Amino acid sequence: MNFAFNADQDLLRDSAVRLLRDRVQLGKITDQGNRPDTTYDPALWREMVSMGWSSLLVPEQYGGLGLSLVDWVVITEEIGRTLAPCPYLGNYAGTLALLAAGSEEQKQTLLPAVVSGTAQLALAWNEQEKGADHHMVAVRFDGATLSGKKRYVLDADTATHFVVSARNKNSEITFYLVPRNQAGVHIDVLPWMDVTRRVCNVHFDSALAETMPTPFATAWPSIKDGVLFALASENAGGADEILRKTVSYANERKQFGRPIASFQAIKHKCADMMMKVESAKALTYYAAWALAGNVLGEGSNTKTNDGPLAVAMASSYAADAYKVCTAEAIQVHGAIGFTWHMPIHLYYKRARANAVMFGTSAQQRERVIQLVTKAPHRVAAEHSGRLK
Amino acid sequence: MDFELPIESDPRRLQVRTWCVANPKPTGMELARAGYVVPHWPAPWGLSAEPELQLIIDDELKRAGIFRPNNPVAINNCAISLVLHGTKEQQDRYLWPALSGEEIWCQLFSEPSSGSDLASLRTRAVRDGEFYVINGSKIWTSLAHKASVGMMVARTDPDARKHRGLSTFIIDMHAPGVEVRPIDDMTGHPNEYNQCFFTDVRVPLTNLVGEEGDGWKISNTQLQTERIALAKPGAIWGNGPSARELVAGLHAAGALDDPALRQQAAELYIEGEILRLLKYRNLSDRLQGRPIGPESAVQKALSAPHGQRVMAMALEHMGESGLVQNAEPFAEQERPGGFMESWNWGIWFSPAITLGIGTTELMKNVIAERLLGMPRDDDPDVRRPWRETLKQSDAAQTESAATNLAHDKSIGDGL
Repeated sequence: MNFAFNADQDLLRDSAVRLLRDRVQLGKITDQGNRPDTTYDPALWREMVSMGWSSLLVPEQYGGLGLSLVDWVVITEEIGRTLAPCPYLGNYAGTLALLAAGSEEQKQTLLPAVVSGTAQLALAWNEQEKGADHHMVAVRFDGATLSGKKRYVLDADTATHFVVSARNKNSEITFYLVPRNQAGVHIDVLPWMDVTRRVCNVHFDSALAETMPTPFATAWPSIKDGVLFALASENAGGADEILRKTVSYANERKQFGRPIASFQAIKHKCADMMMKVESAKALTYYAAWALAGNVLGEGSNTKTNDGPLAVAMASSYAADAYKVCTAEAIQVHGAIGFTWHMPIHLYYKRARANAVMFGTSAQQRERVIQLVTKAPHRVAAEHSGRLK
Repeated sequence: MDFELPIESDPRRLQVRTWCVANPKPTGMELARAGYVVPHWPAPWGLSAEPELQLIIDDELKRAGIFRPNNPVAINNCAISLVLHGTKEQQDRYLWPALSGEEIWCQLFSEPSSGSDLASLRTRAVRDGEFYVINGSKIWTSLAHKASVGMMVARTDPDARKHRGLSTFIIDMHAPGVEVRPIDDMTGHPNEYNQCFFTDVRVPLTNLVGEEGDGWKISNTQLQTERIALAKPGAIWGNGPSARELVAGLHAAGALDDPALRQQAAELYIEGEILRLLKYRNLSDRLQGRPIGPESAVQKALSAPHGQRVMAMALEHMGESGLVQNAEPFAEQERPGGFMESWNWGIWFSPAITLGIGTTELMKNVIAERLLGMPRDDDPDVRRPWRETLKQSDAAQTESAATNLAHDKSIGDGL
């Protein structure tokens, strides 16, 4: 029995920590005042690609590293810890969609370019102004081109290709592959409160599109779970970092002649945060393990199909934990924590954006209940010490 | 990452299984002599078993339907102190009857004025020739009403500093001057706890464990030698019903049609799984020989409030009927193992679980101070002879009694 990362995964984390610590400078955002022109650092993304982060989950036959989510989670957690303004998440979502829905030819053509960084993907699925619902699709495919509007598309402005959900002539929802570099694609970058992330609306106006063969209903669950998982692990990493910053500040800040960290009211707030952080980590690591193979169809995970339950638990818990921890961080920092100059608000906003982008924690809790009440062994009497 | 136990054909498993087949109904002493009661201890009582072997033994005993002797305070908490600090004579006299369950033990630590602040204890042990004479009172003592042996921490040197003047003794619970009174707790069930009074109890010098003044050290090392065990998911300190069973019960009763209850049930279910995972991480760290991570303290701080929430939801589910004595929320659930496995006992016992084994507030202090590196709370008593603290607190008590009297009197005059 071993519930720990192996030496390779520890090395992967070390390399992620080194790159992100050296290269992510949130000070560039907080020093710019409250209207930063740009937060993206294209050079950072290029370095991430050169370190294999765009290829980590891509199977070896498409030129990728073919690693699992248990490897990926150490990177997403560190990205969440630093907020790393870069298009990794949009590209990851698009990669998941291409792997799940694309034809062999589409994968052969595009994935090697994703691995090398010459192509960058984005996933366009949401059309609702609020309350994401993947069934609500009005974008239409006429047999050759695609028309309609998608909202809240992650990292659309730097993408080279979109994976887009749309209705075909039979009104069935299907995924389409749409190259960005054509007249029929218009991108509006939204003035997004989480300035460390680039979120866009994308208009398709008779844009040339290629049908992707796997039915939407087959492909969608693993794509969504893959993204929810990455968000959960970002949330765990971000909450951990905000706890570290908060404790460090409380140890330094003196009032009434002593560090505020010596007051039990502050200590208990921080202890509560740590309890949430460790819980969120435990759930996301378990989700990584349970999902490993399922998301990308590697077939390595034959032991259990607890992936959907594990990701629903991790997603709902970590989203709420991050929101609470970032709110408490502002409270412990006091008024200085409310200024643009301190990076706390970047985490606070990231927490709130992550909590809604692929549905809410309440929706995931509802899914937990649906899954466990359908699986009697999940709620059976406690006679076995084993997890399943 | 891997969540599986050692495989079926593991030779260590087969060895234990062979023993279980040869000894289908072992006595407590037979189990103890085989080393299966405390496999993590050194010989002759244990097998110096590494963590994985401990789990294998647990698993195999469970499958064979073999239960360890029921002497939890000795086996899980106290008796290890004799292995680490006891004399050969003490080990020979006490350990086998403890491990075989022939002599029940209790732990005489907490006092009426020393709860979370254990080192402030006042029970005195005064040397008198070949004996120590003990006077004082201990409280919240589980099993004292059944025990023949007690392990006590008492103050031998009031002129030493708070933590330095304490010593550990083996107490004969049937000795003259020992009185055990049950504490009726709010559950209304038979008593779990007792208060013990010690009046001029004469304890032979040979019952001192370790040296005089070692009491604090011994009680601390005792806490660091827990046996490895598989995660027990029960809501009451690992025992009793779990969140999974709550959800199963609510589902079977049709209560989960209500969206608000579904959300609440999901939250509790997730918390229950978190606790399970934290225990696994803790276990895995120990199995891999790594230092224990933060999971242990975090898991303790999370589990008690979680248990209370599980019990609260079970009670609310019953509505008015939950207030009837011995009401069970999920009548169809089989709950073998006595009343302490019932929902009803858990529901009414649950206010105690954030108190016993360290209050949740203390656990949070531990997390903040030891894991997060925040400043420790200052205890002015730590650096001075205990007698000074005693004098000051007695003076304060006299003063406050006088104030109260004057206050009462002035109210009386007003009337």
